[in-house]
Amino acid sequence: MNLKRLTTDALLTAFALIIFIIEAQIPPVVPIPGIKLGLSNIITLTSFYIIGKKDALIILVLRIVLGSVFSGNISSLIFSLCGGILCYIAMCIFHGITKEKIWVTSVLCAIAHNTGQIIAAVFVMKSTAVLWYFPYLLISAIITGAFTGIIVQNICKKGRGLK
Amino acid sequence: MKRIISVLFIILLLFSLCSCTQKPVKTQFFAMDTIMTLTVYGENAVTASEKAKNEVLRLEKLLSVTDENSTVSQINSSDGKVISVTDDILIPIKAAKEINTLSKGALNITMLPSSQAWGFLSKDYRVPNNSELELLLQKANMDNIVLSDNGVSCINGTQIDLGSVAKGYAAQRIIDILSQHEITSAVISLGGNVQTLGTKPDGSLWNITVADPLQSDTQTAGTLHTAQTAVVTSGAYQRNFDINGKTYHHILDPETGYPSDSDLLSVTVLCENGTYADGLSTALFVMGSEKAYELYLSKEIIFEAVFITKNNEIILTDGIKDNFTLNENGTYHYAESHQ
Amino acid sequence: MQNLTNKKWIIIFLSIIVVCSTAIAVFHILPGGRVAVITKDEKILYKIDLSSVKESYTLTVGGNVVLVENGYISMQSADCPDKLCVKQGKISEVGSIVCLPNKVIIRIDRNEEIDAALR
Repeated sequence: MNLKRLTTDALLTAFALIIFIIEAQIPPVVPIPGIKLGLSNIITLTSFYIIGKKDALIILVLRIVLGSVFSGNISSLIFSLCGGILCYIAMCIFHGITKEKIWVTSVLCAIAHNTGQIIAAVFVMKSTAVLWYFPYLLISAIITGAFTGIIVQNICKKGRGLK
Repeated sequence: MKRIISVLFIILLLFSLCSCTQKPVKTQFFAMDTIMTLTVYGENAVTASEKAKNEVLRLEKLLSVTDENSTVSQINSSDGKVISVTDDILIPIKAAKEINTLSKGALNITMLPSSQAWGFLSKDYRVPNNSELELLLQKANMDNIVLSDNGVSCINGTQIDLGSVAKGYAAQRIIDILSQHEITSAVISLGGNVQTLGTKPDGSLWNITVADPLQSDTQTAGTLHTAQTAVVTSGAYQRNFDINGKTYHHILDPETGYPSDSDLLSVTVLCENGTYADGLSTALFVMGSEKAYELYLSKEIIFEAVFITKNNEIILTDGIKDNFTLNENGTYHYAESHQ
Repeated sequence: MQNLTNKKWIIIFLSIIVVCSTAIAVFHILPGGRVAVITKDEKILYKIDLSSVKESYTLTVGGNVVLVENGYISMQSADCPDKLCVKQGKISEVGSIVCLPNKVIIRIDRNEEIDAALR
C-alpha cells in the first residue's frame, strides 16, 4: 500500500466518520431501529467506484468499528457490521450488472444492508418479533438508497479525476 | 412490465383473501365497578352487543347496593315491608338461597352490615372489633329474606347485598340476549366473571386464563379450554386493603364476620349458569378445598372448579382434568392427592 | 438485468414498496391479538391481557419501564442511548416494540390465543 493510497483511504474514512457522527446527532424521523439516511454510505460507494474494491472495504469496516466506538453504541456494532458486510457483497455483485446506474446499486445495497441488520437482530434477540420491522426497513432502504445513490452518481460523473 | 403488474395484482388478491377471516365485534364499557368486554361473532353482533350493554346498565341500576335509588336499596330501607320486584331481583336471590343451603351457609347475601363495617363499600377501610362484628352478624340471616311471586321483604333489620351474584346474573342475561339475536359464538368478560356462548366460530374451544392470585395483574396460573360455560374466579386478591401490615380481603366468612381464612388463594368455578357460577365461587372460597370438593362429589349441584391453595397447589375437579394447561413459568404445581 | 432501463428499475422498486405497504396494511387489518408478551434476554417475563387492564400501571424490566394501559402498551422510559423504543409510542393490537440495546421485546402475540382472562 503506497503512501498516496494510505492517505486517501485515511482521509475518506475520516470523511465517512464525520458524516456518520453528524447523522447520528439528527433525531430519527421514524422511530424504528435501523431506519436512517445512511449518508456515510456515500463515501463507501464513491470509493468503491472511483478508487477500488479493497479500499472501499477497508473504509467501510473502519468506519463501522470506529463509528460505534465514537458514538458510544458498542451494542449496535454487530448490527452495523452484519448490514455493512452484506451491503458490500451486494456492491460487488451488482456493480457489474447495473453499470452506469449507480443509484440502482445503491438501492440494492441499502436493501442488503437492512436485511443484514434484521438477520443480525433475529440472531441476537433470538426472536422473530423483529421481523415485524422488515417491511418498514425495505421501504426505507429503497428511498434512502435512491437518495444516496443519486448523490454518488453525480459525484462519480464530475469527479473522475479524483483517482 | 405487464408481467410485473399481474404478479402485483395476484399478490394483492391473496392479501385481500386472508383478511376475510371473521373479525369479532368488541364492545368495552365500565359497569358494576369493572371493565366489561363483549367479544361477539356473527351477523347481528353490533345490535346484539348494544342491547346487551344496555341490559347491563339497566341491571346495574336495579342491583347496586351503593345506589340509593336501586331496587336493592329500596328493599334494604323498607323496614320489612314487601317491595314488588321483577325476575331480575328474584332470580339472583333464589340462586343465592339455594347455594346458601347447599354450602351450609358459606354464601350469605345478608352480610351487608358487616361489609359496611369493614368499609368495603365506602372504601373507607377499618378493622371492626369482635363485639361489633358479633352484633352485626345477628342481622345476617338468609331466612329473613321472604320471597313471594313478585315481591321481596327483608324482616328483622336484615339487609341484602347481591354483589356475589349480580355480575354472574348480568353475564347470564348478556348471553341470553345474544342467543335471542341468533348469536352462536361470543365470549364476555366482566372482571372476574367470564361467560362463553357456543364455541369459537371455527368450532375450537375458548381459552380463558386463570389469574395468578399472587401476581394477578401480570401472571397467569394456567389456561382453561372450554366450550359454552360460565367461569368465575373468587380470590382474596380481588379487593383488599392493608392495615398494620396485615391484609384484609372482601370475602367475609358468614360464621365469623372476618375475611374468610380457608386454605385457598382463589377458586375458579365453571358452571352452565352464570348466576350459580358466581355465587358458587364465593361459597367454595369460604368453604375451603376439602369441603368444596365434597360438595362437588355430592353432585347436588353440577359444576367444575380449579382450586389454587396457599401451598401453591392447583387442584382440578375430575371433569376438567383435560381442559386445563398449567403455566409452566408459574409458581404453581398440581396437588398430588388429586392427580 | 443488464438491459433494464432506469424506468424499469423504478417500477421494480416501486412494486416492492407497494407490496411492503400492502403487507403492513394487511397486518393491521387482520384480527389482532390482545396479549402482550414482554421478554428480556429471551426469557418471557410477563404475559398481559391488555383488554382487561383496569388501571394503568408500570413494570420495570431491567433499565426499561413499560407502561401498561387498558388496550395499550408502550415503553415509558429506557436507559439505552437511542430511546427508539420510547419514541415508538403505544401499540395495541398489532406490532412489537424492540429495545435492541437492552434486549427487551414487547410483542402482541396473535398466536397466544386467550379469549378472556379471569381477574
